[in-house]
Amino acid sequence: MRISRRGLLKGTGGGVLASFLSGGPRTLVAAAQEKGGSAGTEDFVPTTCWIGKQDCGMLARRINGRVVSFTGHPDNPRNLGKLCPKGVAQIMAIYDPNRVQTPLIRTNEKGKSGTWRPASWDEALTLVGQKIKEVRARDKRLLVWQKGRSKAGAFYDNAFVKASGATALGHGAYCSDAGYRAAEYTIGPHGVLHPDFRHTKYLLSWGWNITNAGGNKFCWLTWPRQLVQARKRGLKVVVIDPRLRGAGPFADEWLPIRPGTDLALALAFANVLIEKGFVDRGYLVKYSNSPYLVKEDGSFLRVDGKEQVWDPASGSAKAVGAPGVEPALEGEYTVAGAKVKTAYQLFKEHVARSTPEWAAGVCGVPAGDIRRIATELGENALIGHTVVLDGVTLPHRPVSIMAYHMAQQEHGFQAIRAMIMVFMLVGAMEAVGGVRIDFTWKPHANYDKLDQIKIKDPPYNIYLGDSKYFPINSKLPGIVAKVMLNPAKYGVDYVPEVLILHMVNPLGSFSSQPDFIESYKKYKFVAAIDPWLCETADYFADVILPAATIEKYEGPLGASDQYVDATTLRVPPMKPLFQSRAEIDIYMDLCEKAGILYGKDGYLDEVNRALKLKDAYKLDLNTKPAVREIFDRWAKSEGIADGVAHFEKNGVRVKGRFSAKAFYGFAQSPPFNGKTHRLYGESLLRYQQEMKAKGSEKIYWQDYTPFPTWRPPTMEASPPQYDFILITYKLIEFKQSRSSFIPLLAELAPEQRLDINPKAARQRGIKDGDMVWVESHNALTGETRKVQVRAVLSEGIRPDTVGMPHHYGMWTHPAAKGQGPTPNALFFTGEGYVSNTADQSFLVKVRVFKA
Amino acid sequence: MPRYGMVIDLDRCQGCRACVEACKVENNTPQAIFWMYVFRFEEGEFPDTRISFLPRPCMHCDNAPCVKVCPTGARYKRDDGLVATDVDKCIGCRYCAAACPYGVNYFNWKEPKANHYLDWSAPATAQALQPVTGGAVPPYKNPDLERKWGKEQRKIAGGGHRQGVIEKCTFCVQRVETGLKPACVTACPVSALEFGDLDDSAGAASRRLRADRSFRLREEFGTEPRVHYIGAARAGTGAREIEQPRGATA
Amino acid sequence: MNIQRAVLALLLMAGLLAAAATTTPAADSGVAPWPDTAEKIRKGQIDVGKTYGMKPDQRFHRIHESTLGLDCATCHAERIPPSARPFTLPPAVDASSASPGPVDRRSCQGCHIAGPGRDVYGSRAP
Repeated sequence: MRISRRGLLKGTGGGVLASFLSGGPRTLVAAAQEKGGSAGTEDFVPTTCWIGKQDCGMLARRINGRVVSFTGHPDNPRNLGKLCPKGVAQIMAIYDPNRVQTPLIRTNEKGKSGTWRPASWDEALTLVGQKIKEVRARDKRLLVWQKGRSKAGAFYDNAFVKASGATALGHGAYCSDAGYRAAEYTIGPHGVLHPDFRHTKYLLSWGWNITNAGGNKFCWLTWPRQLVQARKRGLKVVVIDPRLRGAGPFADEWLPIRPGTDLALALAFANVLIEKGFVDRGYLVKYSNSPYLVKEDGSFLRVDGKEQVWDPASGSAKAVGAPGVEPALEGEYTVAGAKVKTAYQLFKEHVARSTPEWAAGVCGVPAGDIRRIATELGENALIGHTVVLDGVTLPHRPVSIMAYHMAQQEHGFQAIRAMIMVFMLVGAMEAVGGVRIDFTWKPHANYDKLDQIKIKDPPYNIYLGDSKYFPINSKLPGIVAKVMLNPAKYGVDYVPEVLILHMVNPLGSFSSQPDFIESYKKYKFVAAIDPWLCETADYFADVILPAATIEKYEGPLGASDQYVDATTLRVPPMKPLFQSRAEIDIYMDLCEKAGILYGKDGYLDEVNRALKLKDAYKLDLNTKPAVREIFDRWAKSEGIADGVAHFEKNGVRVKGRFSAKAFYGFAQSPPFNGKTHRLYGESLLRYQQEMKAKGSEKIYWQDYTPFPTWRPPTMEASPPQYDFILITYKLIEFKQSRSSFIPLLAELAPEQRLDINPKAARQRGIKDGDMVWVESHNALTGETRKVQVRAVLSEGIRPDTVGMPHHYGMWTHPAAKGQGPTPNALFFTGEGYVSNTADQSFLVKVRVFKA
Repeated sequence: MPRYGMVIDLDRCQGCRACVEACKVENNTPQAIFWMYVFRFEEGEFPDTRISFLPRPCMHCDNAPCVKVCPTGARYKRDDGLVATDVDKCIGCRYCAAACPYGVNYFNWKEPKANHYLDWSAPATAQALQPVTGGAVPPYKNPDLERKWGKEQRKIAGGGHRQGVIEKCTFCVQRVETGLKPACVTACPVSALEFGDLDDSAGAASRRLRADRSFRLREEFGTEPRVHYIGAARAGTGAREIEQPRGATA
Repeated sequence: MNIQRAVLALLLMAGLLAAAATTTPAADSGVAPWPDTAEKIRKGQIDVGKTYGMKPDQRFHRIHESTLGLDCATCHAERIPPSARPFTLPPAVDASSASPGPVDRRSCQGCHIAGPGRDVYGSRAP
């Protein structure tokens, strides 16, 4: 039984926590008091971590009302009482005197480091509010809202964006959105790929930075916990990664793949599975479009608008779903004089050339290993096996994959599709022990949308939505930057004027830095909402509105661990420090100043909708509420009798385990709600044809193919002296660009580095610790960029690959200076360096030489 | 009398150093001083490379060399196993640091000013924050670290953090004596660390020890550490240290 | 730990053990055999000062360097040229360095497990 100092919380709102008591333990303060000392009062306030992505539950320990440390909240399923090193060290960030203490108004010109004067909230809000009001009156498209991390989607991404009509840009196209698009398109739910950890036995850790960063959906630490438990049960982990360090000691095997060749490897896996007969024919026939008949022109055979399959029993084509038909999975047939093949037949032919020997030459991984891993995958998949969970009989396929951030490469969309298809072959998608996409089976609207895109003619919007450039579109801010610098080239007839930065630092975290420095000069007015003065604000903000960190109400926040449904809120354990304010307060005031707070379709109206408040709890559209009151109404509307007090006492509301019926796509009635999995991407081919017809260049349409098709990435056209591929990755010590200034963390990882293989280093006369130049090259434009950085030798990286972490390269905070460059100054964006879905590619050819 | 010890599962450890940070916050240790430290190792030659991690607190040895060489008796072994440093008696001779095979002793060459988590290169007191926040943040001096502990009633928590004094991991004596576990153990996100009475057969620490083969560091020195390691993910002799922290800059 | 340093330390230790086996001190010291010296220090018959510390003029070095005649490189794993002494000493035995870690103490074991130096370490494990 875990002993805890929370034992004495009965009088101080311990609530549910008190049930963890075993009696006996005393808090330190109480012990001191007992001895006649006066160490003061001690209490614990539940809240959630601010610094990371996933809002881990925390307990803030307070001595005499002062927050002195954070520990994990034991009841929050996402982190079960634990915090990563950032969460632990966050206590130092809270009290950082370098936080923005008052609203700031710029006093010098933009495009360089800012000088500021402090302003009152009223002056600053009025200024920003007026700008919003003015630009909206002319053209709402001129207002852009750019987020990095939003911790209250209902209030920011939803209510503010809708009420203001701003064009919302996120960070997903830097994160993993190429994978999201692939999964939405192919299977339906919103996510990339993660394992059903509790039941899986064989895992492809595909580019998963296990010991430092997140997998699908979650940041640290939820997945590592599940991983170690699965390992204790005998899980085998195959690491597919150019670099080993991320996987730590959990690699049972390491396939050191050449960066950017993942698509080829996946095709080779498919080749072996088919060759060896590890094919779940039942799943493919019943639940995917594998049996659909495809004409020679690549489109489905349709009769009366319905797709067709081949019925061997009658020797004829029948409509999909026709009763009593057991469609053929393979084969070539003739229907009304025309030759057709099943989609699966085409797939078999498509991957016939993708042998392990072929892939070995592309990926730099031994053919024998490729063949062996694919075979093991097939054997461990237990095709045909079933298991009963919660009374439901489900396919049991204990083979899985974790793939997420590595989707952000030029082939990302198709590479993830290829990986999905590997697991479709063995029937493991949404099976027990197999591959998950979302927490529950919940097809996303994009399942249909991405299949039914109408490619428009110009003029286009700033992220080129529905365009002949990126029909499937993850809204990459880097593309927006390119567009802003040359709108005519892309058929865009406006340049946005007002930018609101919400907890984001594009100059630090987006690629490429030079494109953002240039394009942001075009903005006439920029407001930043942020606790710190970030590099982007330093160069481009007109106004900075200081946001609080944990000292606010924010949410609602999910607290699931994939298996348990739970919700939490950020509850303030202290008043906002300095003059910072909660963002929800800031937005309400901004909207008021801009004239869009009250009334129908105003901010408050949108909040009602976004929070799905029942009538009894809806906000009055003409009264500005306190933030706490909004959450109180929300909680009560959700059926929590105590309202927000429940979260102030208990930190989290656990709704319980997801039932198998909710969890697995196979468990739906009918399975997958009848949504067919798209092995064959007919609409992708259609988009290609339409893009060509509209005069789009090959660079945009070449990857809109019905099956993932290998071609060397564009970057490989760089001249041969650029003989390394640069990759980047996250460190556990830091989160994006908002933590390398925290000395407690920075002393563990004080300086930027370039990981380089010792053999490769020796060949270039580079020793461990030498300063080197890293120069990148754009294969299409010929532009080169270079930074100087310290080389660190590592046997855990391919000789043709160098690695440079994110997080460094900042300059505004005194404690972040001099840590070294950001790789975002080396990567390119735009053509050749984005995917066909407008997702950023974090790969580039570089050369390295001694400084 | 409990026989306290720690059991570290190397098959769980992610090398994340959350334990290192938790120790720093709990014990308010200065820059470049890591009572709990986690080694990150790389060994082998590409592509036969291996990564491993090794958390290293003080071993709280039963046959502690540091206790034997301490000229003033500042360093002593408690009945419950903790090897403690009486901050008032330490003369800073550094014999313990020389004798210890594990390198867990840290000497304050100068007055430590940086990276107590409470301050930002400001004068090393919590008061520094007061004017900055307009008095909104009450001053804070960790009460847990100032008291005397154990039946001997000596100042052995917190380490003093002043010039001329040695400090090291205390197994968070201020927590252990009030029924808690050391901060590192509580903090580990994947429960790789366990602590408790190794003689309590029902306790988590001794159960882990009995469930698996274990080893201790540098057994050939006969120091009899109270820290045991289980799990197979152990670095070999050719392992190289990687990703080391920065030394003192203040 | 650097492979070269480990090898050097091993060689030196081997040398030390050989020396200890014949109870012959370092050649350039001209002092009595070590077990006698150790006993005399313990009895206070050799003046090694009263100040406990690691500085060159304090007890540790007066015992090991001046009295017993141990070379710097015995403990400090890199050979330091005479011209650089005593200004630079590598962090090999400085436990408060930036890179904390198990530093090779095997050079101490030669005398400090079961004599002739005071017993600092336990018996060797089987």
